[in-house]
Amino acid sequence: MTKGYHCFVLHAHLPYIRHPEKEGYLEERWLFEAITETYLPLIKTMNNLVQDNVPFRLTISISPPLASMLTDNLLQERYLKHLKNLQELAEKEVVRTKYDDHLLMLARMYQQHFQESEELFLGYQKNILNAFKELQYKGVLELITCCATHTFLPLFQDFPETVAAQVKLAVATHRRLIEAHPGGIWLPECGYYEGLDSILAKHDIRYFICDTHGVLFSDPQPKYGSYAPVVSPSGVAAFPRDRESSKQVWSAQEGYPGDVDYREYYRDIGYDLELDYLNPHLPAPGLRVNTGIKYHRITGKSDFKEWYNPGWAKEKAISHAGNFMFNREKQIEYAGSSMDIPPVVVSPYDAELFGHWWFEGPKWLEYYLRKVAYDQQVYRMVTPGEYLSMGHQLQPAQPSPSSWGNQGYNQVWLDDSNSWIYPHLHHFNRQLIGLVKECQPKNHLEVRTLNQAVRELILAQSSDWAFIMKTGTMVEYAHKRTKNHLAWHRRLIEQLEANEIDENFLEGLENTNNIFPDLDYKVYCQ
Amino acid sequence: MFIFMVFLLVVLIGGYFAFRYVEQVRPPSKIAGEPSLNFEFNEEIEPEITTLQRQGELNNVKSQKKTINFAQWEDDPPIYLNIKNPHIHFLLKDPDWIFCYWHWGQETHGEFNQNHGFHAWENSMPVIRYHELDTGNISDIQINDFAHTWYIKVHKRNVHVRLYLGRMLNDSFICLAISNTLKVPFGGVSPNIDPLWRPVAGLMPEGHMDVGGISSSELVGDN
Repeated sequence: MTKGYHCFVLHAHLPYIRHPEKEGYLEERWLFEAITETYLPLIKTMNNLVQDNVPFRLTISISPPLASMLTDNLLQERYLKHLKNLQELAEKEVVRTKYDDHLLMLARMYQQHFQESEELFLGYQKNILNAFKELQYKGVLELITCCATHTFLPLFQDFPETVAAQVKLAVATHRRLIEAHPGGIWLPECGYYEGLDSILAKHDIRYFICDTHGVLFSDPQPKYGSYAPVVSPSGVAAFPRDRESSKQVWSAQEGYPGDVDYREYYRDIGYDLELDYLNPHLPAPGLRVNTGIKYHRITGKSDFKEWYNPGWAKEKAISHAGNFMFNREKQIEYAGSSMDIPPVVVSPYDAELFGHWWFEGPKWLEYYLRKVAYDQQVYRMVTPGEYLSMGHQLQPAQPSPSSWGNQGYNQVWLDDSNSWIYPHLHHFNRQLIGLVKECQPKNHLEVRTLNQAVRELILAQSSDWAFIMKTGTMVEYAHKRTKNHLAWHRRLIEQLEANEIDENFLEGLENTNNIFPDLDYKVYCQ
Repeated sequence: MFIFMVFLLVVLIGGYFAFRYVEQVRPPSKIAGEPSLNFEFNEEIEPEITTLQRQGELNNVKSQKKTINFAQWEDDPPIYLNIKNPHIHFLLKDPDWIFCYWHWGQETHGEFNQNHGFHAWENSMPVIRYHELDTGNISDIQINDFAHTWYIKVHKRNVHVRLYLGRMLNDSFICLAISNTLKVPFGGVSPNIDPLWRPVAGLMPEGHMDVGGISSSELVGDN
């Protein structure tokens, strides 16, 4: 008899990066790597399960920037080119390693992986969003949305028009590209503040995912801890993240991905092999990058790494899947024994963890879902929408302001490295909100200008830039994106107010930053 | 006679095959206008025409080709703020800290001196007044004229807070701008219990609870 449920949620998001003016931006590779290493393997995992009639449920949020990039013709073509380059490199590797049986086996593994990726990609007419839609249509996947440009909403709570615009555009994009209304939303970085639920409710969002303390610190105290959602004052359910299952997968020290037999992320041939050999496959001569071809396993904490053994890794993945299932059984049995409604354990992760950071992740997930279906009877997989449809009486409570960032609130997106952006973002938001309310555009050119001004501003307020500034990775790029979008927004508004619109300049922006083709500036007038 | 007839037959048959052979290798007549299967020959006799034709094709492509206009990315574009009136705004960093920023320019400076006396600005101290709306508590934080942002330690959680930006002149606070109002989170398990939803024993974590922090940046460590 089913005593409870497990809800596995993957959040797929990348910042909107599209440079039609020039090929070879390193940041565009993030998308290409994610498609090859995460999205296609996850699609393959789900297709395998469907083919074998394994009953399972997954929830995936696909952010509007990611959905837009996946359906963009230019980026699709560039991805194919990227894949061809990898295939050529893999072929060279097969030749280079022919005298070492073990390395040859690994080189052939990558060669096959890239070949299968190409077949799968072309099988969906280069638009892998079709794969996710198909799986949703088959009833095994629930697709939910995320804010328009992944803005960290708690830092814009004084601008309800801005927040509403983010949600409205997200819902509209989901409807256009996924051809369905999203029942739920992944709040960027699980960032919640009191009052946000009313905006979500206005757009017919039934639930959101929040961090554990979003519900544990709710007012009043939650009856069921983090084992059931609470219903906010506006009637939107808040599903809290389960810490125990999160740690088992996420933790760098305790989690599965750190196992010594799994593939080592930081030993890539892009940094290990001679430049002369690699140069034809690098974005620029001498510019080393991750290729995705890695031959070492984690081995231990030191720099010494042994060769990767796929058989050992597979055994570990199966074992870890069994362990994860065992722990969920015990957890649900324990919680269910004292609850008068069935508990639901919610395990949300960044999708990119599976396959990109943790190479064996997609296969681990496949093993886990198979085991859940056939090796136990305590719980079954469910989506948040399904759990709500069961009609259990849920406690009304005000979720606590929270996020899943380090230390649980707004610290990651508001510190010395990135706080400088908010005076600018807030000022331009304030100005735009006022302008949209009063402005009556006289012609189509003015409408286009306003639309593009909105586009530039919402691109500037993507939380990715503040996150990158905080983590110190591609800081220069994050600065450049923020400043250019703000400068372009300002210039468009100044031209509009002075009645001197430079159509050439406007057209350039429309061709470069073309996300949300149906965007209407009045979205800022909610 | 017989021999002559045989000879004639052989000649005729041989001539027929010879004719067929010659027809296969003979270059085609341009007058006939039939498409040639001999590409090598075509190239030899029509190079000029081909070049001219190709030039014409190129001209057509060039005239049809539209240059696509893209935005010009700059390394450090100016993003100045044109704010005339003094303004203060704050954000919650966590239950213990808030971050505020403010603007006041030369106009504010000038107006202040006009309203409060010569050199009033220079003789006054910039101050942020921290006001807890729920308790009425007020405290002043001395800032300086070189800063435009400040981190303020929260005095009490679970209250509504507002800030006032001003200057202390002759022990009087002169307010120049009023901020937004935000509620500082409680940041812990709520003391309130709904009698209809009494917490089930054993489902809340005991002791101190770490919040947040498990995300991809933690997983990959110092990347």
